[in-house]
Amino acid sequence: MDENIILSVSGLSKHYKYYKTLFDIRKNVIKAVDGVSFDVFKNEIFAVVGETGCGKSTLSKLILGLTEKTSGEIYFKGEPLDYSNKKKDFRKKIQILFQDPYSSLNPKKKIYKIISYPAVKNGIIKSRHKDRMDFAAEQLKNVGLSENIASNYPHMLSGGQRQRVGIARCLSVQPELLILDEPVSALDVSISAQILNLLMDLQKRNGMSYIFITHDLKLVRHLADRVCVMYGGKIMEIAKTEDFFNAPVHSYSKTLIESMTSMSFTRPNL
Amino acid sequence: MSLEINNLTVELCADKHNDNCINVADSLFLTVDEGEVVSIVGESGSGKSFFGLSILRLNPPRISKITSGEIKIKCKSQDKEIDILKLKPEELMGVRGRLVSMIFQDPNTSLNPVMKIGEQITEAIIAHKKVSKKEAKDTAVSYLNSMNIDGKSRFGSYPYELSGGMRQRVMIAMAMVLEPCFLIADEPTTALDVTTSLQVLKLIEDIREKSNIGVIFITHDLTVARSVSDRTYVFYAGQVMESGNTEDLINNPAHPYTVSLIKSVPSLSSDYVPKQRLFTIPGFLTKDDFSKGKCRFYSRCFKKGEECLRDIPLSSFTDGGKSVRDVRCVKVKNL
Repeated sequence: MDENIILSVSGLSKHYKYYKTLFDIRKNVIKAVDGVSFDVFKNEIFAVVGETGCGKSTLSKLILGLTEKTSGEIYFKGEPLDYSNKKKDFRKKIQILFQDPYSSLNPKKKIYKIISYPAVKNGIIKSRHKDRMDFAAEQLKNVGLSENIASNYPHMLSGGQRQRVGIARCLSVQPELLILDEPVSALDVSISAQILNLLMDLQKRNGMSYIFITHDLKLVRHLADRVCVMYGGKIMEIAKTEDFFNAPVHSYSKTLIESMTSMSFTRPNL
Repeated sequence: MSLEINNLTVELCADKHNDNCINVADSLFLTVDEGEVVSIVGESGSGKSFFGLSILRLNPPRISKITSGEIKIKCKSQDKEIDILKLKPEELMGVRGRLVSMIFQDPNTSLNPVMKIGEQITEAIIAHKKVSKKEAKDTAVSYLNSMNIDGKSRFGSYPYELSGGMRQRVMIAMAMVLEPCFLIADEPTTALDVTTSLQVLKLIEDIREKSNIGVIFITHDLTVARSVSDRTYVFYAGQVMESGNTEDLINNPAHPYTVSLIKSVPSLSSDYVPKQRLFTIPGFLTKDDFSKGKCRFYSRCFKKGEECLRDIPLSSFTDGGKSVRDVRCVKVKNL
């Protein structure tokens, strides 16, 4: 086993079965993820691209154990990923940052509670008010927010601030692998630049690996080390970012890049 | 055929007693000609959607009011010019949807979930035209077909049976079915992914070419604005910061806000160096930015100085006697 591989996925599938009508005899199968294999290395940003419905989100759910896999194996640092194994603390080591900061924070909980909950749950700190406040203040400082907002509610914050709270929450248990599910698609251009800078800084500082799920190739080009293109539940191409943009091999990758460059502008030097 | 907005000012108040008000649209001038796509670019909270709603007087009546200005439209089907702001409520119904139509941002919430899509389209036709149900249905089917949706089989579908891109195309069919002469598209691609948003943009382009209507395209994405529009207005805090020819504006931005917006987007061009820190605009848009007596972008500007602490007028730059660019910045002396 290669020491540098943090996550190894082989032959992973997720099939959903359903009846077309109430009296259907045979079940129909949707192959949301179909025989997917890849490795993610340490300190790497691994981008997963594809259009809506290609299985990107199902893949992230499978890695997080939020849905049962149909077949295939996932290894985390060479050990089979099994969330029911309490000794290994996989929950602590793999975290996710959600797409929409407006719906991923509980509107009834104060910010310090939201941030410190994973740490309390994992036994990092005690569930005392002062401990939680101190912990949250430190985490907020990490992501460039003032500790004064610790006792605010999510609705009092702007979109960019909320996404920072989301980042603080998933970093609070010091994960080794972070899944970013379209982290900036709900944010404005100016704010998304701030969040991307922060994510890049944090990765350098803490030495994490990212699985970066997105449909925006500009961000892939900017951030990722390697790119994986998905279509209809299958992987079409895995390549180094540079090679992918200079010489895409698969015809679907070519269409994807063409449709992006036809819209994108060559930035003037300012 | 033209749409002309002069000196439009809209006030938004925190409560119904009309105190604590801000100008969400502050003396706006905008023109759209026949067959022209004009885009409005700005970040959330800059008042661009509110402006779109105000054109049809759809702004919430209890908390906001249009204090001054005129919105003149001239249509082929109408023999004289109409000022929307002077119309009575019942006359307004003849304008909304009929002369000026609107596509809303989120197709998932703007269609009625318990009504078949075909019925929703025919409802619009019957409300405005004296036609039989049969004729209305035929029109609806043909418009669905022109949006690349199989009209016959999809007529009886409910919105939940369609994908996001299809729903947005239904919305466009609904907006176009009365053959308006102007279309306001309020972020029609924001809720969609790359490939489907490209299809929708192409559809809007086709409509413009085929029926030669004027389009106001509201977006927060300069890339989208560049691919659809002829001219662009950059909005910030209810004011036009810069306006001009889209290609020209993106290649040679003058206002610091436009410059910042363009610099904060990573690019796909071949000489772009990845993994460097992105340029950011510090802070975020707040209510204080709407106050008078200073440039509205003052608190976040990288070029700010003492001369910015007064109301800044929109100054025109000309090239050979023709106005090519309007910029609201005292620091910009020439292009």
